[in-house]
Amino acid sequence: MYDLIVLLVLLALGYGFGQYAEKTHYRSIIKRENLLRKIPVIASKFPPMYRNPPETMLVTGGIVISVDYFKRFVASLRNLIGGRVTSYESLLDRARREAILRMKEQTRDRGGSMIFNVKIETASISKGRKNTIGSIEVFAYGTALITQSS
Amino acid sequence: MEYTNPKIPEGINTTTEHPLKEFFILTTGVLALIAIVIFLLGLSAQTIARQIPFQMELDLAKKYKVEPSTNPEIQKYLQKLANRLADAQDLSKTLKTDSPVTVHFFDDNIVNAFATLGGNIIIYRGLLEKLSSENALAMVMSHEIAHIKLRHPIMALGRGVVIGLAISAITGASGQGLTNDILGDAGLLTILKFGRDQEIEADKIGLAAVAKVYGHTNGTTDLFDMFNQLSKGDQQLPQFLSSHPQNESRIKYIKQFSIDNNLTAKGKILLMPKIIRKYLESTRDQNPKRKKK
Repeated sequence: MYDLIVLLVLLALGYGFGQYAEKTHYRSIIKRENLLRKIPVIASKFPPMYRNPPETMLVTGGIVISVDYFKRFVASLRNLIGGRVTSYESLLDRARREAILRMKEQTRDRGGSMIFNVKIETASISKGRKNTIGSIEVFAYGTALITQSS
Repeated sequence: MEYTNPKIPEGINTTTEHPLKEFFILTTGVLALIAIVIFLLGLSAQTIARQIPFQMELDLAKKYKVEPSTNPEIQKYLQKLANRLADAQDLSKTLKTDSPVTVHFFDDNIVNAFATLGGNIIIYRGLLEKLSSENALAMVMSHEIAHIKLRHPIMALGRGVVIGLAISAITGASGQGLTNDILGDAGLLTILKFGRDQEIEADKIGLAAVAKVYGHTNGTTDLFDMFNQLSKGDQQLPQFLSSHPQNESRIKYIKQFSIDNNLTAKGKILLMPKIIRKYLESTRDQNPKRKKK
């Protein structure tokens, strides 16, 4: 009984804080994506052709997000029967978009106009350790074109 | 030329469904599944446990020692009665053992009697005080002997162990105490839980044996009648009834069973031996709480 109460409290806390964090994070992501739309992010290895080759630089954006208890609980139930782990989908979606946004912000601050050869890496922290709340890291990097001078 | 990334609609890489919806569907589904699996495991364990030879059950129960009774006279009387009823149920033949039933008398106010592993039957003084006649006592005893005949204690133990193991497997370390409880110190002298059907079965076999010993079934339902009165009077029911069928329905099907099997309900009701009545009187006087209001 005691265990059950602890579990329910943890779930309620995880749900409350987790959902609040997710909502505010998404709001911020959408707002900043609109602001930075002018800096395109391209996966192509090669930049568009320029008559005067602009300056290039490595830009990076990294983020670590923790899984909340509620998400982990739902995901572990999902593990039993399979299917879309929707509770982790939104977590990774947020992390990827945030990483790209940070990369874009870096580019904007350096006066860059676009990023090409963009790659995204994902890693899970506390991998393989049982009964710990896991966190994920998403790291985005690419080559920014600084065309301010031309 | 100016490049821009287009605005991608939300809800492609994520779901728009409310997270609580998934949570409730998953928890109810998984819990239902676990409940079904545990129920089936318990059922099969019970079936398998029934096949365990009674001799093995006796050896298992030997590990748990029972304190010798402080009232050898009552103990002797109860054992004698139990042996008569056991013979009427052909117990030693069914279980292939010479003396399958051992009765223990516990000098305690608890209104209870139960059968447990190794053919042990425990009867508390509290219950004896409530019984009006030897016939009523014989019914209780016969009912418990029938449990032993039907192997209910070992079935309940088998079910308990397997369910405990299953729960500990699911919940991890936290469930471990549960199996220890069942296999360890709680092994013998605890009340094993029998199902309602098992109780009804034991009632019927028990009643038939009482009829065989006394030639009639008069006085056997006294105990249930009394409990019935108690429950109507809004008093707390004795432990004895927790898993047992409703008293009224119990009286009804016992009567029906008597009619179906041509058991005569008329006959002389025997009182318990004087020495025992005297002892029960003396303990009753010592406990002013137990006096009738």
